[in-house]
Amino acid sequence: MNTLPAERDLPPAARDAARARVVAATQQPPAPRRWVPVAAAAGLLAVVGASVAGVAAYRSDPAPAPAASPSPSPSPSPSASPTGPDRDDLAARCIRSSGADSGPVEIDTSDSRVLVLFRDRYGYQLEVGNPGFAAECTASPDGQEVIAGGYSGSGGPRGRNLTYLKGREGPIELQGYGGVELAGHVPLPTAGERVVFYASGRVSRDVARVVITWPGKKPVTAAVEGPRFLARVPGRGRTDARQEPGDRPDLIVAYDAAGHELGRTN
Amino acid sequence: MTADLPDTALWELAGAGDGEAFGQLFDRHSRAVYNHCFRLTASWSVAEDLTSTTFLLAWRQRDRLRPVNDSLRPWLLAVATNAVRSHRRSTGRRLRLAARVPAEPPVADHAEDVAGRVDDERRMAAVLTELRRLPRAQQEAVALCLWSGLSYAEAAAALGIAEVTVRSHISRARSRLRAALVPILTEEIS
Repeated sequence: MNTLPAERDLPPAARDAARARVVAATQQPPAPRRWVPVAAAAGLLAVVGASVAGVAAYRSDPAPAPAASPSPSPSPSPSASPTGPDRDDLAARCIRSSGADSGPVEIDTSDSRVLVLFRDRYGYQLEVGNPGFAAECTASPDGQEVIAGGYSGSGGPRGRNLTYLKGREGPIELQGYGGVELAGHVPLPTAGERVVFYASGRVSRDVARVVITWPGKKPVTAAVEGPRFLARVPGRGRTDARQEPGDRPDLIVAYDAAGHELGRTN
Repeated sequence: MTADLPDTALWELAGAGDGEAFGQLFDRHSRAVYNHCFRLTASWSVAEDLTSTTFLLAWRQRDRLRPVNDSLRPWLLAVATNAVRSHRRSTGRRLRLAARVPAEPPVADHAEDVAGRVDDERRMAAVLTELRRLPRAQQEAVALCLWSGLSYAEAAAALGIAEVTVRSHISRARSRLRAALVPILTEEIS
């Protein structure tokens, strides 16, 4: 008991299977790296409504609010770009990474879709879910690597357990925030953590734009899709061993399409 | 034929479409990756999955390859370290859910290998409990240098940090671990 366990070989069957898998990977065509210029993607915002139409089915307050007002920071772009990652593919990868569909508690992930998608130079932050399940993920810029930060849900009847998609009083509500590692950065490019701090929540139908400010950061315009908003900023993780939640935003302000402030939370 | 080639040559062949060359790299380094993943997870079965994940990630991230002295091992171990962290992150929630589910009663298995693996996992979990009290950078330095045998220079190159920083992490980790882990890690940290 005074040394580390001795090294072992991979079990032969597992080793052969893994070897076959990685060798096969070299025979596949390389995944294209697709960086969508922000301006180009922003120009396609009008198309987003169609791509998130399914989310409306989950809304209790219909009429998604398009982002229209000028932004105090470079605008992220909810992706409906034809050159960006496929949303269904992102949703599937996010669910798979979360383990929600293979964990010890049976979670119904059927009919899940991307609820809201935020894009920046480091890739994507997204929420995936259905009325009884929600997962938060980061994705690499090419959408090929998706890492789940966690999920919510239970084995109960869908729609009974989560209220995150249901209407509530007030124009805006912060429902989740945290610090998560970026997908697609292997190995670590610098000492310390490469993380993003994200914040997500719900807005009422008349909210067109949400601006979030984290401590010491420039304001970020969130992606708003249907009743959900989501944004993130890059940061440096804590260096202690404990996994504390990421920094909570200082301020979140909701505006209508005319640029009038509808509400704020801090 | 290709077995004598250095890693970087095999890597180039693999990049040119020679799958068997990548297979050779797998043969060469999978054991080190497997054991490295085990030391970071305390689970042999998870380490199995993460071993193939590491090589798949390495292939996908091949444009970021950083060979050290013609060897891919330091870089692969760094990729494995990151794969473990991603895995930990994605399963954290599931593990919390699992904690609420009554555990299955233990099933007796007299197979020596199985018993040995279970014992390994128990011991490793105890070590990891202490290791995770350290800052993450120190954890990685310990895992790469003290447990997986990389030199300070190799670990520094793989992590993209200065060698003196690795030395500093190891030094600090040693002083903090010594008291807690002397009974467990005498050989590794002396």
